[in-house]
Amino acid sequence: MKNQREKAKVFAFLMVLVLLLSLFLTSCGTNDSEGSSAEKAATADDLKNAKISVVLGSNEASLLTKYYPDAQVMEFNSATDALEALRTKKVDYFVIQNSILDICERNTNDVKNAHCELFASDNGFGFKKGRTDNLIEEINGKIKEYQENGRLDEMASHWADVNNYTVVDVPKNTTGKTIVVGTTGELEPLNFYMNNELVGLDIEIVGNILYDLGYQVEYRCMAFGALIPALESGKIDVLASSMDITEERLKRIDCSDPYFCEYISFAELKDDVFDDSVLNGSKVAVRIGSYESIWLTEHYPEATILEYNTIADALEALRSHKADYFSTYDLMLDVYINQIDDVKNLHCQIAPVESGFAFKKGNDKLREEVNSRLREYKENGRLDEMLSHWSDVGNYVVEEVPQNTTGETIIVGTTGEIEPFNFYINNELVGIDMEVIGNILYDLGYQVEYKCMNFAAIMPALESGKVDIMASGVSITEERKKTVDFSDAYSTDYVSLAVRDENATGGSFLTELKEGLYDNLVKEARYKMILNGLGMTVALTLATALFGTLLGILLCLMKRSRFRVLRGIKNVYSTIIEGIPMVVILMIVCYVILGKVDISGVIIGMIAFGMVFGNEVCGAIENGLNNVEPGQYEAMSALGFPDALGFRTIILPQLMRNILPIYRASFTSMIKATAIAGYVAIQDLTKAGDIIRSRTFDAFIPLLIVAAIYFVIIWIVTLSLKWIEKSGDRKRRKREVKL
Amino acid sequence: MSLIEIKGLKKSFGDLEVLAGIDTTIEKGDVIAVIGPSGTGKSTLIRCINFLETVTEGEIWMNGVNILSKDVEKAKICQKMGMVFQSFNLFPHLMVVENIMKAPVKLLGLSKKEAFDKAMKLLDEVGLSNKAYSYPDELSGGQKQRVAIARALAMDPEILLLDEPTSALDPMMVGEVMNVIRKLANNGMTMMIVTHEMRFAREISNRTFFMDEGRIYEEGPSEQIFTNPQKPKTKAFLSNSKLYSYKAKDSDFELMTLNNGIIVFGISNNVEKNRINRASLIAEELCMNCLLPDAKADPIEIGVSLNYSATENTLNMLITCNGDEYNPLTEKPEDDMSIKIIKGSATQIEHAYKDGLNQFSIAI
Repeated sequence: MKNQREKAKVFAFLMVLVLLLSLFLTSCGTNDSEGSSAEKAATADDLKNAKISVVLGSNEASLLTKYYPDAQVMEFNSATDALEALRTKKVDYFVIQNSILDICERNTNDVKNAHCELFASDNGFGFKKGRTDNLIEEINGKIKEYQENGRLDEMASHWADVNNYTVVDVPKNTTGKTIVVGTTGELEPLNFYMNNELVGLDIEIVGNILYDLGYQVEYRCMAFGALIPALESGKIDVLASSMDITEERLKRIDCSDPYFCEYISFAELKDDVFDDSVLNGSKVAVRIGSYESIWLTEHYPEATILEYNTIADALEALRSHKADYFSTYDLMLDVYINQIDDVKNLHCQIAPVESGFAFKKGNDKLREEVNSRLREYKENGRLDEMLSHWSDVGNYVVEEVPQNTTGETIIVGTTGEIEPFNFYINNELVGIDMEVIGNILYDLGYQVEYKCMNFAAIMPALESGKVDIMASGVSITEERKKTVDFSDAYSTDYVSLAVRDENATGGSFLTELKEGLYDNLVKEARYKMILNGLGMTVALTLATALFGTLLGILLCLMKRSRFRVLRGIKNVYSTIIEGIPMVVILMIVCYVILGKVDISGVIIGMIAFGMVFGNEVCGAIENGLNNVEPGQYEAMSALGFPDALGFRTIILPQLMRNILPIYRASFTSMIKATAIAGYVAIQDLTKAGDIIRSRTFDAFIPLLIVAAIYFVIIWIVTLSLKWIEKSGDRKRRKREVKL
Repeated sequence: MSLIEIKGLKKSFGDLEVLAGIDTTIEKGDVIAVIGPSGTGKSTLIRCINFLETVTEGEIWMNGVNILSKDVEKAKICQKMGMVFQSFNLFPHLMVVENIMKAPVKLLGLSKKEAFDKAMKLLDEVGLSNKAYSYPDELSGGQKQRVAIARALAMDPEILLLDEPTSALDPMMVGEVMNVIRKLANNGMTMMIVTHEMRFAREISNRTFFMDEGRIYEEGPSEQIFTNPQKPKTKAFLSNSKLYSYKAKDSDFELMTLNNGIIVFGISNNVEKNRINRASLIAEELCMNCLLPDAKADPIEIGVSLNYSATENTLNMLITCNGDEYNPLTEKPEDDMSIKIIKGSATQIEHAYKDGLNQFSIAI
């Protein structure tokens, strides 16, 4: 008998093992088969080791993990957040449907769609598995019909030009069964808010199909990741958010036939490639007679070249809006704008520049000696090392240059005014020129003497023999070669441009703020969304406060109950609630506990937030009760107060004084907690901000407005609760007995 | 008919029996002092009378009514018994005058005006009319307790129960509370008061209960209990004597421990330093040089106990040792150093042999 039972146990164990193994194998198998159908030629090798942002729960995430195993895939709650990650350089690429990337490109100036077909994407509607009615067949029939009569293509064409949508009113039935359609409302051009109306390709197609089928439609917006759970729990009937039909998803839900096919591409940040054609027709400030002045005049005949005496004057012309650009060598530009916030170096390579040492024509012996050393320095890396001493503007590495005390003296002419080539630090002439030529001449056994003079005066001095070498960052030009001989180049640089940094100046910030406020609030009456969201948040808060407070009292009564079972239930409840994140509780309430019930979001939120808030209220009451000394109960009973009367007149006033401060803290944190209501399709204040953000691609203003409104709400609540606390403090009142 | 009659009252907390059977009566006008060592059930007794503790067994009758029976309204009974707590238990959210008015208004149906006038009169009696509009946390301990007494009196109780009313007070404030209670006693208020203030208890009470181990160990007119107690524990308690004892077998005998114990006992009971030094010298010489080397027993067991009575100013030491009869005071030579020291240090020393024990009674 016993033996038989043991055998049965072993058998059962083996069965479980086989079951697990087969489950494991099937899941592996599906992954393989999915691959063959879903992807097309993946050309973007760049993605291999990159950081990539995707939308949480989207098909892209699993495809990328599979085909780019070395890539680091980061999942974000919404397309807006994933795009923001790209723009803030948290990731290198953003992968999503091509049409959405077009929108990203349109709405930003720093993102571009690579239009690269990474994977094919067949979009269909999703349904709960095993629907008993024939909604799927009906919808499939309509998709087929639309395909055949060209309506599908026509609808797609409405949304093809991202700069000019054709919004056609979708007709609605006023009778018939209501079908609840779940979507994100944040994926332009597929489903998004325009003039406070939910529109987009998904919406147009599903709206028309359901109209034709005689259904009424109700839309619910939620995060993409929440859509499938909502479908499974029956909160929504149809998932319409350009969902890829994949094998993996087909295991969990049923899909319609595809209604829209496109490909998945990726977006990257635009390179800062400067389009030099803009120089034609612009005003460029330069130093008079400089190399860049000549180059610009020659190469950009349409540009107005404004010549100034000094570099500082030219720079000032740019800052005072007299010029559009200011041009000089890149290295020097960095030096000049180092301390200036409102000018930025574009680091655009207008023209290459090489600097060399100049010699009197015919002084070939010295020139050859210098050249041979220069070549040696280039080969053994000493030159690069010396240049590196001067590359970090403001943080120079000054190394002492050795000097010979014997040998022939070579006179070097320089300006002593061109940082970082030759300039004074602590009364010492230093710089690239000094370090390079000083070391060369030391190695050659010469003594050195420096003469500082005006740039224009050095060349005549060279010719007259007063100076042997000119070392002042002189750029090697054909014209100059006619008068002097040059050594090999010791420094290469390029002519760059500087522009005013509009973001940095006060006036333009205000303009931008104004534009931002207009875009985010006024345009398309988006403030209405904020107001509706605010209304929802307030309703949610009030409902939660009421429910939670009552629940808290109930829990407290349970905790103090004579019955062990009730005390036990309360303890288990508190332990569970305290151990689970708020957002998870919210989703469990929505999709698991109330999954089958069709009630409004406010009720769901009220229950979920109230469950947590109630627990905290219970804690506050408990704490308040514990802080009333046992002696108070004894005094009350010894005086002959019956329990209820005594509690009301003696204990309760003391209790309130203890409870209110903690209650206030819980209340405000509850208001803040409601910000996650968007997870379950409650369009509260935060969600409203997210929706606006998904249209304007501006994180700053919507978030700031939402933050400010929350702040004001919480401020008001805090003030009023504090007022109640104070008015309950009898010591603040007049000391008198009303008879 | 007695005001209160207690029959076979027992109270246990779990396995711990705190009251082991109390039988007594309280007559109208009695002022009863309940005294005794800590943990003997004094407070529990009066807390049982007004329902602050639930009685395990027994009966309490008040004016011929069994107040423990189920059909008695306990709140109504409580109204007839005032209670004063060690920790005052004033209501912190109410002003002094409101503390006193609250119960008469809510429970006796007095109008606010009547209650206010009564409260002010009571405050005047306890000398605190100027504090009527203060809050409890603005008062000193003595003032709080006087307010608490006034609050209890506002209900016109038939008996006032006071549970160590001066124990939580600074010595400075004990007097003002005692004066109030004394006045009440003189006015014929029936009271039962648990206290450690012996002189006060003797002065104001007409009857005294000495409690020990959950029972009334000795009971009688206060004058008799305090001047001529009949039972040994009462005597010991009232003579305020203190005891120190040490016991060890030969191998465990630790001179350091014994000496240290004697010195600490001396310090904590304020015995003169000189007497304590002599006591420890005698114990050392007798144990180390006489008993441990010469006593005829195996193993040798030595006991030392020290008894000090502050009221009689006596310090007595009893040293015991097992084995055959042995008296080093007589058996050792006269000029033995130890014997000289012992005789020199003690004011009186006697040896006796009883039940196989050598007993040395030494007065110092």
